[in-house]
Amino acid sequence: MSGGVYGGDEVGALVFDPGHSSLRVGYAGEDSPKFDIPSWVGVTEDQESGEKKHFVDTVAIHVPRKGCEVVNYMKEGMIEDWDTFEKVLDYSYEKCIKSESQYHPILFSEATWNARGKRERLCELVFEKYQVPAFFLVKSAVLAAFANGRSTGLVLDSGATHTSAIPVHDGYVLQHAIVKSPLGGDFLLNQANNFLKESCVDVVPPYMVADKQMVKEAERARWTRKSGLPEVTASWHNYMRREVVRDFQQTMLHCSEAPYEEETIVSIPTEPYEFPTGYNNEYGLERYRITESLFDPSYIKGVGSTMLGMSHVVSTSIGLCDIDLRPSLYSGVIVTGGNSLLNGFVDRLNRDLASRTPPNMRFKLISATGTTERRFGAWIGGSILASLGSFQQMWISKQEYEESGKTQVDRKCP
Amino acid sequence: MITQTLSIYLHSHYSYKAKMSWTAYIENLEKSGGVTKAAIMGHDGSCWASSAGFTIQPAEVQALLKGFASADALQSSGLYVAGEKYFFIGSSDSFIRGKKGQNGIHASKTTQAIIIGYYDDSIQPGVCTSEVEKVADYLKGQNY
Repeated sequence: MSGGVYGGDEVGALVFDPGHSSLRVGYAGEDSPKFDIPSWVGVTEDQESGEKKHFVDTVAIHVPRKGCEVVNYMKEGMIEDWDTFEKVLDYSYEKCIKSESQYHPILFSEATWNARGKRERLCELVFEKYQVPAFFLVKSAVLAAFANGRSTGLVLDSGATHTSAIPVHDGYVLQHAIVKSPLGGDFLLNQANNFLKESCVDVVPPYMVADKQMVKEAERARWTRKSGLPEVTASWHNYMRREVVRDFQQTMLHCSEAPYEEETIVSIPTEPYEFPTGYNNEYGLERYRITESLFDPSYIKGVGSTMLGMSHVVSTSIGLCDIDLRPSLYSGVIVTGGNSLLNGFVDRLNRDLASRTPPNMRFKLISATGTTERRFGAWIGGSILASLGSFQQMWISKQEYEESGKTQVDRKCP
Repeated sequence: MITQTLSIYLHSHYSYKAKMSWTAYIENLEKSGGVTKAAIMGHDGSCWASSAGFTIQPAEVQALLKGFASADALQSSGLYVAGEKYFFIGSSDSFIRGKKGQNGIHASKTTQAIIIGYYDDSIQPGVCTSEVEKVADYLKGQNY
C-alpha cells in the first residue's frame, strides 16, 4: 500500500455534503447528519475598516440587521465563493463539531461535474489550512446510490437548482451520459412566486409582522407592521420572502398522479393555507398545475418546451449508455434530492417511467421512504462508505498528500 | 555478411535485453499492490511486456489509441482488453478507465506506449490508478 494505510476505525471520520441549499455535516457511521447549515450566509461590511462579518446558520441569518447582504457560496452545485465557504467550515468545526480538525479524517461529497481546479483547491484547503489526517472526495450521485444499497443504477437527483440523471456503474459515474435539466426546487419556487403575484397575494416575511388578526377566507389581511426595524438590504428581504414562498411550495404543491387534466383535479378537495400576515385562502387546481411543468415542460408559461421533463431526463440519460448496461440502469432508478419530496412526486415518476421503459427491460424505482433519508441521501451514503473497513485504503492520507501534492485527488478519487 | 550477422546478433541481443527490462516494470507494478495483471504495449500494437496470461491483441490497442483521441465509440460499446469487454467509465486524453463487475482496467498513454493495469476485487481502483500513473509519468519523463 502506498502512503500507508490510514487505520482510522477508532477515530470519528466526518462527512461533509455541500449542496446548493445547505451543507450537511456529521460523523460517519451515524444515520443522519448532525447539522444542516444553510448555504446562505449573511455578510456585513464595516464602512470604515472594510472588515467583513459573517452570520452563519439559521438563527444568525434570520435576525434583521442593517446592511446585511445574503450570499450563497455555491454555484451550479460547486463551491464558488471560497472565503465564505471557509467561514462556514470554521463555524462547523467551532460551533457544531466542537473538536479540532486535525483529529478527524474527512469525506466530502462533490457535484458530479465538479471542475478539476476546484477539487484540487478543496484538497489543498483541507490539508493545508485544516491539517486533516486524511481526505476523500466522492461524487454525490454515487453516495446517493450507496445510501440505497446499490452501487449500480441511475440516480435521479432533484435538488434546489436543477434535476440531473446520473448513471452510476459499480461506484463510478458515467460522465458522458449525464443529463441535466433546470427544473428543480428553485424553478418551482419561482413558479409559485409568480402565481402568488398574479393572484395579488402580498407575501410578507414574518420578521415584519408585529401583530395579526383572524380574517375570513380570501379577505384582506389585517396586520400591523413591526416598528423600529433596521434598514435591511434587498437581498436579505428577498431571502426571507423566499422562505415564505418555500413553505407554501413545500406544504401546498402536489404532483398529479396522472397527466394533468382539469376535470379530474377539480374533484379533489381544496386545501387552506395561511400566510404570515393572516391572509388565508383555499387552493385547489393551481397546486397541481404548477408542478405539472416538472413532468410536462409545455406547461411552463412564456418559455418554449425545450427543457426536459423528469422522465425524459431519465430515458435520455440511459439512452446515452452502453447498450449492455441499460437493463441494469432501468432496474435501479434511484430517486433522491430535496425536491423529490414534493407530494406525489415519486408516484408520478413511477407511472411516467413505466410507460417509457422498453418492453424487454425490467423497471424498478428505488426511493427511500423517510424524508430524512431522501433529503440527506448523499450524506448517508458518505456515512456508510466512510465507516466501511475497505474504505480505509481509499483515503488520501496526509503523508500521501505531502509526497504527491494536490494532484493525488485526481488519481485516487474517481 | 559479417555486418548482417552482427545486426541480427545485435537486434536479438537488444530485443532480449529490452524485454528483460520492460518485464521488470510489470513485476514492480504487480509488487506495488496496485494491479493484478499489467501490460505495456507499443503504439504499433506490439507487446513490450505483460503478465502471464494477459495477452492483448493489436486490434485492442488500436481501439484504445482511438479512444484517447475520442471516446465516442467506447462510450456506446465499451472497451475490449485481453478478450474481455469492460464498460467505459471515464477517460481523458491520457487515460481510459473500464469496469466489469468488481474488476477493472486503467490504461494510461505515454509517448510510445500504453500501460494497461488490471485489478480484481482485492484492489481499490484508486490505488491501481495511482500506481499505473506513477509508471506512466516515469516513462514519459524517459521519452518512452
